[in-house]
Amino acid sequence: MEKLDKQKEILKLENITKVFPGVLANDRINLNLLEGEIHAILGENGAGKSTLMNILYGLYKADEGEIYLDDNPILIHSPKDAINKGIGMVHQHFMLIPQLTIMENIVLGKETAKGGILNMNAAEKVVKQYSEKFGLHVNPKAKIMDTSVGIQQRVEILKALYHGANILILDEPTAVLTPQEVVELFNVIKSLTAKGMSIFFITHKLEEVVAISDRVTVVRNGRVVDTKNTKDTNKVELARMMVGRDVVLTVTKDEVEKGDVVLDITDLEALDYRNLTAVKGINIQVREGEIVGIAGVDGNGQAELEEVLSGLRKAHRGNIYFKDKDITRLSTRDRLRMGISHISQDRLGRGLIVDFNITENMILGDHDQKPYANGVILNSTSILNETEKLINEFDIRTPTPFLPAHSLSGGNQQKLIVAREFNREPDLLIANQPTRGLDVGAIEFVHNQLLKFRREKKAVLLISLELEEIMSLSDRILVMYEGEIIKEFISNEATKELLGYYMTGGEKKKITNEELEA
Amino acid sequence: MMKEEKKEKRFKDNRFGKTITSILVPIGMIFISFLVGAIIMLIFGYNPIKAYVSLMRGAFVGSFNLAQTLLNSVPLIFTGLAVAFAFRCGLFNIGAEGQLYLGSLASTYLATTIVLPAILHVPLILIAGALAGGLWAFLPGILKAKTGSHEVITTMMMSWIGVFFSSYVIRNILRDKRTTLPVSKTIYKSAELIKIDQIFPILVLKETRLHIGFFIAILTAILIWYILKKTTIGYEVRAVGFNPYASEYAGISIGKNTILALFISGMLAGLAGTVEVAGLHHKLWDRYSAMYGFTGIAVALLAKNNPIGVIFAAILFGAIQAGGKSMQLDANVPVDMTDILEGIIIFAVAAEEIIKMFIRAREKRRLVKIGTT
Amino acid sequence: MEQLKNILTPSLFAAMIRMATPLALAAIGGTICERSGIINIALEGLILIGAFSSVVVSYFTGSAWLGVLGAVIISALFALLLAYFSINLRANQVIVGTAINIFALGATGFLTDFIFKEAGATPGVAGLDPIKIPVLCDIPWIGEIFFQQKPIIYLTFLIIALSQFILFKTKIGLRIRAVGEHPRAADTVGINVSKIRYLAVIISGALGGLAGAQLALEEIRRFVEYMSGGRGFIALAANVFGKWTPIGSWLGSLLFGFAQALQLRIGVFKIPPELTNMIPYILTIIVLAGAMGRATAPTALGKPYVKD
Repeated sequence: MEKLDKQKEILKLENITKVFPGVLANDRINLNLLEGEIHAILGENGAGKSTLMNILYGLYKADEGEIYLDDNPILIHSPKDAINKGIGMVHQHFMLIPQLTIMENIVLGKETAKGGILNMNAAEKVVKQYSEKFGLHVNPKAKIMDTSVGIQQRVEILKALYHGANILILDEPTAVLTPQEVVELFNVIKSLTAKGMSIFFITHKLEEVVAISDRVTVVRNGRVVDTKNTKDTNKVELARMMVGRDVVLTVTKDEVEKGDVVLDITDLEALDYRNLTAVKGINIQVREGEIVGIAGVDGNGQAELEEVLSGLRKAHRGNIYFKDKDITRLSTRDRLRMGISHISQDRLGRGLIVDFNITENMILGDHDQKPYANGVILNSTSILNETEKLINEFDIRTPTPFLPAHSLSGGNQQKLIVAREFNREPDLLIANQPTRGLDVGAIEFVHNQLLKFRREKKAVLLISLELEEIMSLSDRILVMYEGEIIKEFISNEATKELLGYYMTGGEKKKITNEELEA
Repeated sequence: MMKEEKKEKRFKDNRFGKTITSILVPIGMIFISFLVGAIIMLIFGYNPIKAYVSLMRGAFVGSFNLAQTLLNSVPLIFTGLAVAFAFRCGLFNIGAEGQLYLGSLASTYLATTIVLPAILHVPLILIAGALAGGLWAFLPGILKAKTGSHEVITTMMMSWIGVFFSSYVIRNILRDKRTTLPVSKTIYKSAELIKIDQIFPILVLKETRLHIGFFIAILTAILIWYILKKTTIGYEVRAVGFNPYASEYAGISIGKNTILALFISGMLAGLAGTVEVAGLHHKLWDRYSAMYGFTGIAVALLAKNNPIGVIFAAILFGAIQAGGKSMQLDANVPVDMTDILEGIIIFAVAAEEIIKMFIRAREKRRLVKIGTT
Repeated sequence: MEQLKNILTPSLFAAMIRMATPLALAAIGGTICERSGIINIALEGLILIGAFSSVVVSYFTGSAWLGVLGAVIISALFALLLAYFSINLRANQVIVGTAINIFALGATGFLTDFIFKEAGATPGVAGLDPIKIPVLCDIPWIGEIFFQQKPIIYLTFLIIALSQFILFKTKIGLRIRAVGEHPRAADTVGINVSKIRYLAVIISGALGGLAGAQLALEEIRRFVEYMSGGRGFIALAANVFGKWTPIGSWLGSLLFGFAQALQLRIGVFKIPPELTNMIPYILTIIVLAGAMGRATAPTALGKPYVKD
C-alpha cells in the first residue's frame, strides 16, 4: 500500500474554547490533522471531544479560537459551511430520516434533480457508484426504518462522502456495532484513508485507538493532555492520561460487617432504545452494610442498568431479587414502596420537576403517603416542616422553600434530590452520579451520608464516573464495559490506573492485523 | 444558615410577591391588547375612548348589564376551567364545545322526563351533565394514553360528532312536539337553577336573570383550585404536565393521569352545558352555544390556567361580549370589534410566553458568566 | 331501491365535488404545512379571510379573478403571522392558530360593517360562472359530474395533482418532508429549516385563501359572516384521514363533501342528516386510532426546532 505524504497538515484547530451554562467544555484546545491519517480523539464522556467536533462541523460556534484549512483560516458557522469545506461528520446519534429511503437520505441537500424534479434513478446509480468505490454496500431503495444499525452507519458515511467530504469525523462509531461489524468498519476506514481521506476518530475505547489510529490526542476536562503517535505509546499510558486527576480523598471508611444479600441481579440483559443489547448478562450482589461501586465510562450500559433497576425499562432476560423477592416485573411505584430509592444521573430530566417548588419536589414519589397526605388531601404543614428540616440538614441554599426548582443552582438541585432519596430511609439506594455538580463541601457531606447508610446496615449500589468517589466509598468495585462486568476488585486492590485500564476495555483482545486484512 | 425569624419573613415576602407578579402580567397583557384595539379603532376613524367607555358601561352599569356580564361569564368559567385543567396535564382539550352539548343533552333529558323534588333533581342533572361531558372526553383520553393519538385532533372530532349528535337528539327525541323549532321541551321547574334574587335580594341584581349557576361556577372554580393545589390528584396531574419523565421515575402513571385529566376536563365542560340550560334558557335549543368552547381556550390562556384566574378572565370576556352591543349603539363601532379584541388578547398571551422564555434564557446566560471557572 | 336511484344521481356527485373543493384546497394546504412540521389550526380563519378579501377586491375592481388573486395574497400574508410566531418566537402553534381564527372572525365582521355599512353580509359581487368543457361535458353521467363545474374547481384538480407530484417527486418536496420528520438531520446537511417551514406555511395560507375565494365567488357571490362554517377544521380532519398526502386529503374531502351533498337530498331516505354528517368524523377517529392502518403524523409536527 502506497503511503501518502503524512507530513502535510490539512487542518488545524487553534485555541478552541467553548463555554456552556456552568461548564467550560473546551479550554484552549490545539489540535491538527495530517493528510491521510487516522487521528483518534480519546477521552471520557463529558471530556469535550464531541463538543469540539460539533464546532468543527458548524453545529456549535466556538467562543474563541481559529480553524485553519490548508493553512487558510476558515469560518464555519453552519453544517453547510463545513460541508462546503469538505468536512463530513457521522454522528453518534444518526442524522437519518427513518421514513425516507437510503438513497433519499444520502442525496438530501444535494439532490440529483433536474429543474427541481427529483431523478431517483440517477440517485440510485450514484449511491451504487459510491458503494462500489468505498466498499460500503447498501440497498438504495430500502427505508431507513427497515435497516439495521450497521447499515445505517454505512449510509451516514456514504452521505458524507457524497457531499464531498475529504475530512471525515466519526463520533464513537463502534458504539452501535457488533464485533464483526467493527472489523468491517475498520477495513472501510483503512481503505478510505488509502484513497486520500483524513479521519478524526472519536472514541473512549483503548483497543480501537491502538488498532486503527496513526496518532492519538487525549482530551480530559476540556483540555488536551497530549498528542502522540500511536506506535510510541501503549494502553496503560493512554489510560493514565485519560483519567488522571487530582486526588481528593476526604473520607475514610471503617469496617462494617456485611449482612444478608439485599439486591441480587442474575443474568440481567437489557436493550437500549435502539433495541441493541446494552446490558449483557450482569450478575451483581449487594449486601446489607455494603457499598458496591460500578466504575465505567459513560455509555457502557449504566443508564440502561439504572432504568431496569428502577422499573422504567423492561428486563430482556434475567431477574432482579430484592430481599429474596423477585421484583423483575414490579412497577416503579411498587419498588419505591418496598424500600428502593434512586438518585438518577439525569437530574433535570428524571430527578426533578423544575417547575415545581422545593416542597413539591421534596415529596415526589411519596406524595400520596403519610405524613404528606391523608388519603387524597395533601398535608401542607407536614410537607413544609419536613422540607424545612431537610433544607437545613442538607444545606440547600435557598431564600424560601417555595422557590421553583429551576431557580436553584445545579449543586443545590442535586442536594434536593439526595435529601429526598435519603430521607425515604430505603433499604437499598441506587445512586447514579450522586455528587455531580456539587462543591467539595457538599460532596463530602453526601459521602458521609452514604457511609452512615452503610453503617446502618443499608445497601448501596453506586454508579459513578468519578474514580476517587468509587474508590473511597466502595467495599467492592465492579468495572462495567460494553454492558458487561469485566473485572471485580476489592476496594483496596484498585488503583486509578488499573481502573482506568479496565474502564477503557483493558484486556479486551486487540484487533489483530490479520482480522483487518481479511 | 439564616436566623429563624429572618427566614420566616423572607418566605412570606416571596410568596406574596409571586402572586402580585402573576396578576400584574396578565393585567399588563390586557392593557396592551386594549391599546392595540384602540389603535385599530383610530385607524378606521372610530373614537376609542367613546367606544371603551360605552363598552364598560354596557358591561357593568345598571343591573341588567351587570347581570348580563355575569350570565355570559358562567359558561365561560366552566369551559375555561375545562381547558385550564387539561392544560395543567399538558393536554389540549379543544373539544369543550361537544362536551358541553353532551352535558346539555344528558341533563335536559333527565330534566324533562323525570320529576323529582328540586333538592334531588338539581344535583341529579348536574351530575348527569358532568358525567356525560366527562365520558365524551374519556375516549380521546384513552386514545392518547394507548395509541398516542394527538388529543387536539381527537377532541375536535368528538366535538363535531357531539354537536351533530345533540342536534339529532334535540330534533328527534327531546323536541317539543308542539312546535317545529329545533328546541326541547321546557324543563320541569324542579330542575331549574333558581334566580339569585329569589334567595337573597341583592339590590343591584334584583329582577335580573342571574341564577345560582353563577355561584355554582365560582364554587367549582374554587374546588378545582383546591384539587390542583391541595390533593394528590392535582399533584400528579401537574407533575405529568410539567415533566412526564420525572413523574414516571417517581412512580406516577402517565396514562392514568392523562385519562383522568381529560375526563375531569370533559366533566367541567359538561357542567357548562348543564348550567346554561338549567339556569338560563330552561330548554335546550339546537346550536345554542355561542362558541363557548373556543372562548374557553382564550379564558384559560389569559388566566394562565389558574382556576381562580379563570373566574376573572371569564368575567372579562363576558363583559366584552355584553358591552359589545352598547359599543355598537353608542360609538357606532361594529360589534365584531369584541372578537378582534379577543384575538389580540390571545396573541398577546402567546407572545408573553416567549418573553418569559427569553428572560429565563438571559438569566441562565448570566449565571454562566458568573459560574464558570 | 327506486329511492336509491333517485338519490344517486349525477347531480349528487357533481354537488359532492363542488362541496369538497374548498375542503380539498384547505386540506392540501394543511397537508403541506404539517408535512413541514407546523400545525395549522388557523385554516378556518384563513378561509374566512380569503372569502372576505375576494369579495372586497371583486367589489371594488369588478373583476372576480382579481378577487381570487387578492384572496390568495392576503391569506398568505396572514399565514406569515402564524409562521413568524411558530418559527421565530417558537410559540405554541395551536394557540397562535386559535388566535388567528378568533381575530379573523372579528375582523371580517368588523370590516363588513365598516366598508359596506351592512351587518352580517355584503352585497353581491361579480363571481365566476360554470364553464362547460366542450365535447366532454356531453358524456352521460361523467360529463355532468366533472366537466360542467366552475373554474376554481378545475383549478383544484390541477392543484391536487401538482401538490402530490411536488411533495413526492421534487427536490423541494423531499426537503419539506425531511424537515417535518427530522429537522436536525436536515439541518446537518445544510438545509435551512426555517426557510422551508416559512414556505410551507405561506403555501397553506395561499390555498386557504383560494378555498375562501371559491366559497365566496363561485358559490354564493357574497360574503356572509362566519361563512367558513367549520370547513377549516373539517379540512384538518380530511388531512388526517388522508394520512398527510394531497390525494388522500382530496379523498377525505370527497367523503365530507359527499356527506354534505347527501344531507340535502336525504330526507327521502329517512336517515337524519345529522347522522350522515357525523360519519366522516367518526371515520377520521377510527383512522387516527389505527384501526384502518396507522396514520402517523410527521414526527416533528408541532415541535419548534431549536438550534443549540
